[in-house]
Amino acid sequence: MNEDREFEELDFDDEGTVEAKKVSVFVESTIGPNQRKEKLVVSTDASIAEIKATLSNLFGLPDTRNFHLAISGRICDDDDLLVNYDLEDGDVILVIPISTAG
Amino acid sequence: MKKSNFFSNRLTPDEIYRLDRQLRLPGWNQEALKNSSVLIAGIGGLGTEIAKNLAMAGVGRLYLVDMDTIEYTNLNRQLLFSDGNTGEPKAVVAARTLFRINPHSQYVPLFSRLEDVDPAIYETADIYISGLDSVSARRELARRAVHNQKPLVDGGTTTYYGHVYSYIPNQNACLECDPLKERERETLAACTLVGVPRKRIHCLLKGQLFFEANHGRPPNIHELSEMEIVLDYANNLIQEHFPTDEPFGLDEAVSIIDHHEPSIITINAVIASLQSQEALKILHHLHGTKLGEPNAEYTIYNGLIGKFFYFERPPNKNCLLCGEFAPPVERLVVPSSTVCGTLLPLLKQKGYFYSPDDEVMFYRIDKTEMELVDLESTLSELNIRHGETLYCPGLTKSGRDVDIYVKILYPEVTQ
Repeated sequence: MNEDREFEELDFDDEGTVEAKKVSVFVESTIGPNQRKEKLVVSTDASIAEIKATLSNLFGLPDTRNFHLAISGRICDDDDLLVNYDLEDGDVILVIPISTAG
Repeated sequence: MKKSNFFSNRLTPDEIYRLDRQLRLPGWNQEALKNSSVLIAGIGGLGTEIAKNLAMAGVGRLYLVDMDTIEYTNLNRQLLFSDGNTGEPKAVVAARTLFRINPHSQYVPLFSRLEDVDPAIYETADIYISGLDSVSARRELARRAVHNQKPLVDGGTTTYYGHVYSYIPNQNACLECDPLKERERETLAACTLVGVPRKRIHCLLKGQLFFEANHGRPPNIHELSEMEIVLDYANNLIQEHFPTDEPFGLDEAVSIIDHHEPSIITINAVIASLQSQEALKILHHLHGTKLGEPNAEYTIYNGLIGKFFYFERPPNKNCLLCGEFAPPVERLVVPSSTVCGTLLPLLKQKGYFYSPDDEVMFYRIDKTEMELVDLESTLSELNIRHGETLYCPGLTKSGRDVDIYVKILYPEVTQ
């Protein structure tokens, strides 16, 4: 739990459009058979889809279509960039189920 | 004198006897519940449980909305239905069973799409509860909740997980507050008929449509030869447009075409019970009794580890449905004999202007097919119903362009 991990594939060069920075966040999974919280360093110009792919490996969630991420109460869109969610050091990214069945 | 549960004029002696144990609950107000009406959207795994709970708790009137009929595979979790009911409308059978469970309340079955439910019912119901199984239906209900300023207790499940979230007007986020492009995908699915497939999954969809176009019916997933036709078409498209992607296999194709979410009574019952309990509290609050505090946070239940997770969902001020710049709802109380064109001067009185060069149009949106309003006709000639919403784009107010919603209310109904 809470090991420091850094993922090279999340670091991109600044394209000039957004001010990319690295933030150290916690990722907490609400799904799966184990309650887990991991520390992660992410670059804010990564896309949500990229973060999801990384978390899918980290948390052993095979299909990225089966979960959403939630940051500061916003449920994130896959096509969006992390930079649009005002992520700060110490923030929590939640891995949540897509529970649309009734 | 303080309200009494045991000496309420609103309750029959029978009811007081039947509800005896809950009338003893601290802070409980049975009259408030008896005077309440709730719209339950979707009478499936969640909806049947919610309806059962609220009927037994003595909520006065339940509107039960569902457009589906009962299937045999519903019976593992939907306790209001039994073997002989397959093929019957869910809403109708549910109302019948609920009446046997508690004959003291009213059950109004609506075998209908949400879009086509009488707008007056959305006006009347105190709260909406969603037991829906699609994002598009949730969006429809969410719009009604925001426009009518009604709390909406949403719930949903997937495998061993579920969520409960109560939208409380002007307090927390509505469904549209998340700028989820993904929500549009369901509606986009139909549009992939034309054009280049943008995703691997679109190729399979096109394969299905190809089969339908040639056979006048969807493919039968139990017929190997038919599935092969679909697969051939889909995999050729994949080769052409997504050469690095895997072609579809038979089992994958079947599970996608004949898509059903896994579902189990226990998870359904947990989520439905949480929704019901939140609803009972909100109904108490709406009727002037502060019972506990409704949970305004998004709640997730993980049934694999037996734990709950919560997070706050602040409203998004840029939300296109409930935000500062969202089209406002103007309520107009007018007789049904009003000629539609004369609504414009009424809007002018409210500060809305329109360029004389432009033709102002009203669209009826409270129905499955959006419809342009004929300005020469009267409201009653067009069967525009009490509480119906018209969408009116292209006005200006205080020098700013603005689209508005106009809610038509008849004085003979509003009193």
